[in-house]
Amino acid sequence: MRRMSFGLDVKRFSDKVEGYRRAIAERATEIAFASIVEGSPITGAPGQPVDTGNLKGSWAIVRGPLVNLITTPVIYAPQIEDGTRAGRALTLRSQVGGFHSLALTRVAWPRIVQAAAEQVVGHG
Amino acid sequence: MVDHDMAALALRNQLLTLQVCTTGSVMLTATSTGFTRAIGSFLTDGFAPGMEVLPIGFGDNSRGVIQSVTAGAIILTGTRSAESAATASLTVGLPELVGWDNIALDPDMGRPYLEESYVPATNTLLSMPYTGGTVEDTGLYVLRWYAPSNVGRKALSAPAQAILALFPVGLNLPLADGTAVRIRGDIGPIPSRIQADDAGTSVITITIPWRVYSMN
Repeated sequence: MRRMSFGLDVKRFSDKVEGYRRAIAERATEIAFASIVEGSPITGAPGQPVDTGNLKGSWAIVRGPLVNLITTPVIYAPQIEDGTRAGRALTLRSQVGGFHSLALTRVAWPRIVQAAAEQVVGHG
Repeated sequence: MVDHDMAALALRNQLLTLQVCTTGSVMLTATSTGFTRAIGSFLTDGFAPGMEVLPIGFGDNSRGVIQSVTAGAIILTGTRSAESAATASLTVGLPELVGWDNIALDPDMGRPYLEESYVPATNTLLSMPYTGGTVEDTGLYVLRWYAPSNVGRKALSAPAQAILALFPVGLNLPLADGTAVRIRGDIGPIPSRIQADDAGTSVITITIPWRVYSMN
């Protein structure tokens, strides 16, 4: 009886951890997406600048069994990310957003995961 | 709190020591189209088309952009004064044209050039109390290296590699106030893919994440 109970306890714990893992991964994806598109105090990313709204509106999450992708099909997205076009530095004219949102989101990944864990599991 | 001017200057001063490739001090001859050597190899030394080379030891030490390279010869775009063999050196380092933060650059699309951006990101109190606690500042040092298009990968990949070697993970750059800019190891520096532009240039972006710990 004790062996069976212990086994069940381990299984319950494992299922709970797996549930948290999935929820944290999903929440972290959402935080990263918001950071790239809208900007975020967690990462310091400014979000996408806006002229016509084409780039900002083009970002999407593609969910997979193991990996989620945050993507855009807009061909000039790398130039906005790096703040360069036609061999020159871009001048930011948008009143919102800025450059380097992907890079800032990437380097803040540990903070994103921590924030996601706190939101899913609580501060403990 | 971090002094951002001090931190930006420390990163820039590290960048100023960049050396991509060099012959060292060897016997070189200047021709009307470039340079030749009888001993050693320009290819082995790392020279490639699209790089801007700085000669030292000649009467004419003006920079030139490499058009082609063989083991024994470098052909530059344009012409120069021919000179007899001398103990001299050729070096590729920072381009002459650099757009430092908030300094406008009017680039020459036929030459390599560099732009820098210092990007503060986050500021977090890590430890109590509020007064005297440890604060962590993070950010990016973003460098964009441009070269003429259609000259091959090495004109951009070699400088990027040299910059990454100059800013390895864990590097500590001391500041005058006792703090230090540290190159992050949890998320380290990376180069981008090479991106061709429609103005006849290609660019590679090197992103260097950093952090500074200071007292609040």
